[in-house]
Amino acid sequence: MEKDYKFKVNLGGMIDILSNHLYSSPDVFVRELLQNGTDAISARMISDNDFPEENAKIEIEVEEGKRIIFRDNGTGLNEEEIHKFLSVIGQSSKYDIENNRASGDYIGRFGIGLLSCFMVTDYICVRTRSYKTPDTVLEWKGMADGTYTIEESDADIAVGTEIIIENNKKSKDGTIDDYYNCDNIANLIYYYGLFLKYPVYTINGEEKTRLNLKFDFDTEKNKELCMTLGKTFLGENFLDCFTLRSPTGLFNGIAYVLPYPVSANVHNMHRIYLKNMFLTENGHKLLPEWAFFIRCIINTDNLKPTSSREDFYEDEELEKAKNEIGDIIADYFEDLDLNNKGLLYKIVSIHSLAVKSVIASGNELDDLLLPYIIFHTSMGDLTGKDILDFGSIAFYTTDENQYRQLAPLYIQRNQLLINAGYVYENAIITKLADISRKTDIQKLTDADIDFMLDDSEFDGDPAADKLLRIASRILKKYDCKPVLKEFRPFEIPTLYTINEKAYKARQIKRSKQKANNVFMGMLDSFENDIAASTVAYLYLNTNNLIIRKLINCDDDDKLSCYIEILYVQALLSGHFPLLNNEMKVLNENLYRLMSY
Amino acid sequence: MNYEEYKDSFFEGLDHGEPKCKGIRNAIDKAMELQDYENVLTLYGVFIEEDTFYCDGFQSVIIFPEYQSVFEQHPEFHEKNKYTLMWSFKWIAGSAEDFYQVTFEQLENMYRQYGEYCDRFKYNKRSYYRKIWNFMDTYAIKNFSLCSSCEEAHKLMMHCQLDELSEPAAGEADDLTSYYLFVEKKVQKALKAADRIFSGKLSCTVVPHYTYANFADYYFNHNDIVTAADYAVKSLRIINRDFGTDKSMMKYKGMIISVLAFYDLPTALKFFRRQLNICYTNECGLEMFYFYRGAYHLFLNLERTEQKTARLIFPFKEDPLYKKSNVYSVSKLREFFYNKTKYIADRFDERDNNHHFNYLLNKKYDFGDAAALS
Repeated sequence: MEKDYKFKVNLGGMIDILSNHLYSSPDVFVRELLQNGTDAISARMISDNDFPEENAKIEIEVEEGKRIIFRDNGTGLNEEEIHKFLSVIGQSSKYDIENNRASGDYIGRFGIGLLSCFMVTDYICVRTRSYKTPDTVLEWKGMADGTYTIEESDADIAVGTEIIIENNKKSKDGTIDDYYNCDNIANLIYYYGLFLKYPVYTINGEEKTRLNLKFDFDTEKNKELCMTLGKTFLGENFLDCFTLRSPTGLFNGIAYVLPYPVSANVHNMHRIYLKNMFLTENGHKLLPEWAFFIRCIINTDNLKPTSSREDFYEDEELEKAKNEIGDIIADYFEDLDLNNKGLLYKIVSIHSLAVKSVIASGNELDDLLLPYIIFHTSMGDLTGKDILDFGSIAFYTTDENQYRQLAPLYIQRNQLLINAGYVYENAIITKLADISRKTDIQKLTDADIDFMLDDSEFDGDPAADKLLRIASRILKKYDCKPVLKEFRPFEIPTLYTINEKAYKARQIKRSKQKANNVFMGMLDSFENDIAASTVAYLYLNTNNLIIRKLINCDDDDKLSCYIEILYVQALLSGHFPLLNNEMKVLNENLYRLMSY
Repeated sequence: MNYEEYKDSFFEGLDHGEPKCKGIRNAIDKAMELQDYENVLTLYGVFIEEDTFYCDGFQSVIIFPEYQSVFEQHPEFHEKNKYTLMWSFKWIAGSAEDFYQVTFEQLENMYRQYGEYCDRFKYNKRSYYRKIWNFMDTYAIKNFSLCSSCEEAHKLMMHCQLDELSEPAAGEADDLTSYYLFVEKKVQKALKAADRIFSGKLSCTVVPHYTYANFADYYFNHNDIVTAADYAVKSLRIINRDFGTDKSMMKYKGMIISVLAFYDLPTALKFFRRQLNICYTNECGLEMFYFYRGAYHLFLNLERTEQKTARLIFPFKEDPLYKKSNVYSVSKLREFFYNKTKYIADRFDERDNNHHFNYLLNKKYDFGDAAALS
């Protein structure tokens, strides 16, 4: 015979789930009670026409070490509602069952908030007077073991609800006692409910203190107060702040610019509120990923929270909010470009990586931000604007190693070489070259390097030709070609340059020195694949006395020796780690020289 | 110096990817100079993990023989470092197969050696067979000396217990999902296997990123562009969040672009523009095949909307197509990215002796009214 059975819920197990898996800390019971109180008042504002908004309030009375009473003057509950909403887990008074959605006026909607109190007590007492049945006060007593009672009460309370929680739960480490302290409760209210729309008071004996504030997120009007708020809640002396106001009403708040650089992988701590109730510190879902230099205090009424109420669901609205925040940050930059260029320089120099990533993504901010980007160059650090105004030819290289090798020569010649070897800089310098009118910004090619080094006065000289012939033969085994040139400073006898592929080839050779048979073939394959595109030159500076001596040296054997030593010396001065054969060559040749 | 000191001095706080890899490489050189081989071995492992997850894996494949050599020269550190070495080996094996430069025979030898190392260090063959079926599936390999079929390798894998070299729970679930999707082609089983991933119970560095993208790819290839786009958007959000500024994940970024190119062109274009300048230096053939194929699909569909030109910061400055104006003919871009993809497809198909990549490139997609081209 078929029979219907009902699930039984182990309340102890549920509380364990809440405290160990759903909520990050027992602290959240304060948030849940504030939320219930706020929603009860909102409900009364909607349905009780005789209730003026200025009367609305939430009071939290703390009897030190003993109990906490949360009191609101919202709708209150009648008996039917008590059975329905306080005693059935998962049923919320704020949930519109017919329409299967939560009402937009309320913060909560899961019907599990009151349970969170069992994280700090084994006993909850709810006294309530419904505005619909104002002659009756009802008292609901719930135990952590899942039992509850309801009876009429003589308690003299106004329309609304008071929730009494007793300090009777044993905790392993004694931390529950900390919740029965007025200062600690006040701190939690401050943390969760700073922007709640109804006044929240703590009462400790005779002392009654208002904790929350009515705040206008308008940095134009309240700049100083906004900066103080940022310092207080986010703990930083920020560079600047600006208003975040969604054009579609999705959010409202303040964005703060960090005063120091941060890595793109650091998820900054924000203060994000849902319907004026604190939701999360984690803003990486709400802010564009490139905005890691920004921290926010932000309130939203329309984004959906997860059931733990500690994060947002990822949906289209969240994506839209993220795009809108990106646009507002872009507008802020535009405004600074017009009105406060100094601050924009400062922000871009501190947060260069973030700004570069914005430009690399190719949006409309490019032209605005490019002049502010700072590049390392042979003339020191220059901004994009400095480069645009330079007025002559500027070369850039995307190979950091090449920059390091060539920069000394450009410094001597007072010519501009830009290091575009860092993340995003290739895209940025390309863009800068495209918008440049006065300066001809060109990527450095082997021909440019060759051109920058002057022709040697020894070109065509038979002795110099002989040196080149011998050097070509010697350097062939290193896949390197010798070239005679004149350049400053005179003290540098040689200059070794390689392209990115040749740099990779060196790395492969380095690994091949140690590879076993299984990997040797693989490394050979990689090496062969790039062999055709590797380029390495050893420039011999005929202004240098050593090279001049070599030209006049008629001992071929000695010449070979010197050339190999100079080659290794050039590698060392270019900070290239030596391969085994190169180190060996250095030692062998020094030994040979000593034998002469 | 202890490990923490190397970290603080050379790579702590550097951004993921190339900056951090350079820092770790300098730390390895320093430890070598100090003959501090215990830390050399640890740092090699750190380097390979960083390069595998945040770059294109090329440097890892290059550096691993050095690591292996130092490891073999120092048996006193085997017990302590064997776990890191084996994970590194596992990662680089996964990377090496994705470079068409590596021949089929070299891959066979590498996998054989990986299996021998599993035996030598008393690990079971679960991770070995995982690599085998994954490789055979990704490259549509039919004749492989190490195993008769993808299904057989998977079966042998499932016969081995989980051990220290097994993927974490999220990776295992993602693997199973892929197997059901792409080998058995049973989407309901795959959805069930992915249940704990999609409900948020299982996750890791790359899951659910991979999982969403794989479902997107599956539905894309089974003519359901609406469902494919739904999964693609989910994958895009988290990939953007966690790997948006890295040149890794290009295979999945490419899959997303392919799907959205047929469904939501503006989003596909925006995502592509951003990634192109980050990733064009990625040298991994497999990754770039999917990324360039995504670009080809993008400009193919843009062309169908009769848009003639597109603005793009084009990083291939040496290519004749490059223009200072940043304005390009859509059809030229379509042709450019087709050719780039085709080059890679030919190289892989030559290596693997099949037509798998050319098939993937030239497959015609037609989603009819479902494709909302705008």
